[in-house]
Amino acid sequence: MSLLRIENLTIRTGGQALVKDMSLVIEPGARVGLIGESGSGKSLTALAAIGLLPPGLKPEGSILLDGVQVIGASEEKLKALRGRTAAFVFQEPLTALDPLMKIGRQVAEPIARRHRRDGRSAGRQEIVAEVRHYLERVALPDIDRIMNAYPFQISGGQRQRVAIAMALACRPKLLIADEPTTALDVTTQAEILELLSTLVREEGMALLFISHDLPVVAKVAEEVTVLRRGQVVEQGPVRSVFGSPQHEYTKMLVDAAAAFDRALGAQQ
Amino acid sequence: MTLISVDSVAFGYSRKEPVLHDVSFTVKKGVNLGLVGESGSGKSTILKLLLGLERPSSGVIRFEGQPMNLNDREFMRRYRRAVQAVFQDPYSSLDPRQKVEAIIAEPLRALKIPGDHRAAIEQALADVGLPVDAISRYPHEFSGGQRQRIALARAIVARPQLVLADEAVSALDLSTRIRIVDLLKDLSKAITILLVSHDLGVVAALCEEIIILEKGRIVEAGRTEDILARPQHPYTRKLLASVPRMPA
Repeated sequence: MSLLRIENLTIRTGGQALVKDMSLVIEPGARVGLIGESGSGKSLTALAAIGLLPPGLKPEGSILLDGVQVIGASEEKLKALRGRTAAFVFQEPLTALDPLMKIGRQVAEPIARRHRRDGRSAGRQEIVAEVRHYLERVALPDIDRIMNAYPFQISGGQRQRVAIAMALACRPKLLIADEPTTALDVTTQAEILELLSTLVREEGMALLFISHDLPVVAKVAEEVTVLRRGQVVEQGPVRSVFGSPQHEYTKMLVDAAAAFDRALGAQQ
Repeated sequence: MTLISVDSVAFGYSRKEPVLHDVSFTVKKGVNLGLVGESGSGKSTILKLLLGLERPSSGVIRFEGQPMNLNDREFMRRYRRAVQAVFQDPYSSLDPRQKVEAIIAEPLRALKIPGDHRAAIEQALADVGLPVDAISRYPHEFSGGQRQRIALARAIVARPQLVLADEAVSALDLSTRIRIVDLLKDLSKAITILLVSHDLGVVAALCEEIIILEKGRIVEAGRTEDILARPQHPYTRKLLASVPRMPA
């Protein structure tokens, strides 16, 4: 069974379709990139996949997440899917994290929630040990200090690592990352991309990676879907889509990315 | 010919924590210069100094050989006429309540530049590839890329020698970004561009010279081609290695 199967998804607001007849399949363990420019509907698609569309946006079609129909599902049913089946990492960790809560407590939340969900109560010690485990997993230094710090007291890259640790702590089957490195410096971006690739492989999670940046997607994804104004223009393995794009729009994107790439000269 | 020289400039918001240490470089007429660095590198601070929004704590900035003096109104008028700016976000850099005509006319009015303003505005619009009828519209009627063209038209309308571009294409989509970079390249036949950016690819595509900043210090500077081909400083190497590349 596919982990995520989106079929003929259309998202409307008023009379306007923001996503049109979109289909996308993610198998367990697959790493899929969703590429699009602003207004392409890439983030809406990801939000729709876990039933997080803002009110006023109506999805039609079918979204099966781990076999459960998301469209029209009750909030209760969706809550059970979120975290357990799919977890989200957003673009801006400064807004994704609670500014008034220390990192240790924030990471403890999804852990405690997971234990409750599994019907067992975990002691404080056990949870703290797990918090440490996940902060180690995302290669954060000086864990004692970071657990006691507020989000503003750590760097942007460290904040994004914390957000990834919180997503991991849910032990999801699918990790959805929406432009997770766009707000980061290029050297930090390289580290986070490396971390995400490693973690996804080691934990056997599937990855849906959303970005406007072609080379970034090429770093982490095996398959790619290109969206334009809410419609899929091209889908396939990264190598063939980037290597020999068929659609005019994909060609234009690949040419533009290649032009900046060429300007940098040969890879060191 | 040297347009601007920055000579041993240091700056700090407090005495304890300097954000720029002993920075020296020159901007030469006709040679586009890229200032590259990550957050905290001091690139925006350098820009503020060049815009005359802050004064160096030590060192001196010269324009055409004359030390920059923020109190000398005559000098500053000449300076602002010669040095204009374009910012990152065209959604916040254009006054939403002014028509494009008034927005682009601003430098002409503020600098009391004589002549036919309407003709100058129309020429600037043509130079940035916008239709003449844009003149009577408001910023919200334009896309992000078109707004950045409006911001560029404002920057070039007084025919400056230098345009300071602060991450001027970073907020744009890839397909728009490449067109604005092409436009900047085109404009730089007549106007020198100093581009502040974290994006090495964009800088490489536009600038003949490059300065790499780390934590308020210049770690490497020179011809872009040379530095990309043979980076000397470990930080430059790390930066280059971090840029994700298209699969071969």
